[in-house]
Amino acid sequence: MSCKPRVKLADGPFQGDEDNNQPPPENGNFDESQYKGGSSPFIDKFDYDNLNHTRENTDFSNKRRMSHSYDGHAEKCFGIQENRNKENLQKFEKNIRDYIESPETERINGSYRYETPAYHYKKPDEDLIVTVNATNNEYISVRNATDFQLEKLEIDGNLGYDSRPSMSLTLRFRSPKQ
Amino acid sequence: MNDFLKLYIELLEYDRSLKKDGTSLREQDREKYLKLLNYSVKLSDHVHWQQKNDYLNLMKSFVDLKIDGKQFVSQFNKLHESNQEAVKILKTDLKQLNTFELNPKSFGFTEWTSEIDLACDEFYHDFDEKDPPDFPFAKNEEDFRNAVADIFPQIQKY
Repeated sequence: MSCKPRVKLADGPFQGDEDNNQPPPENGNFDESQYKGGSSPFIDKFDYDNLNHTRENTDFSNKRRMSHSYDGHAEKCFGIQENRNKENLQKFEKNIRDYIESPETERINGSYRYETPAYHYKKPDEDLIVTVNATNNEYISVRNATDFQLEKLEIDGNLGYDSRPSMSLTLRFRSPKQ
Repeated sequence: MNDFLKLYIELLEYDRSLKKDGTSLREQDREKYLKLLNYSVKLSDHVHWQQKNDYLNLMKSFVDLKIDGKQFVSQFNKLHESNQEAVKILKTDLKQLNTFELNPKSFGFTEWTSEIDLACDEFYHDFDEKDPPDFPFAKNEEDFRNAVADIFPQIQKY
């Protein structure tokens, strides 16, 4: 029997956090990676080694995403203080590319919000991380990560809150045994 | 001094000595490296937690529609970054660390401020419903406000 939730518990992502420490049942079909606190849903299941997804092939063509990212992070991450224009956007992109392609930079295979497989590029002892969508190699973001985010990246490669359904609540509300 | 801090300083000094030899704690002992990272998170929790009321007041202003998303992002970034700077200094200042007392009440606090930080990045103030950004996690003003409202009680608990 599958333990997938049959009842939608809540719309808010931050509910049901109180008592989710129950172990999964002794059942071969149970996939704990689908639940809050479980392992990454993508590691060992997603092909992170797609040959087309090289560092050099990272896709920065989404202009809106790049502009948005420039406004939020160009100064903080790379000290680019000038207003956004075509030339400065190119400079911003080059800074990110150089960071990704630097031989010191490591690639962490992980996820974004446990919902999308992602590559996180990071140099040891630095808090700057570049996140790329691993399904299409498209740039997501650059940021100075907090210690909490760095710890989570090191542990299971995820960036962002674990909004997967809570294991204990799911078990409580599942259908009766048939 | 808290036991956490004693261990943190020990591990920090060990990491520094390994780096002098061209290696690092991360390369030599992953378990200890994770402990060092975890203690860094606790230091960070404490520093940000001391500004808990500033975070709550700002969040309340946004949730109560007194400021818009763009203003919230700007003010949140200012507060968050100044705390991040304080954390950066504290983490390596052994003199300051030696007299520092961590309050365990603060542990876990930055899980929530980090989440707001990420949500700020996903908020598009120019979100157009007819032409939404090609990014599945993009938030419009309402989504963003709801996300902050959801986090508010989590921060209030501290």
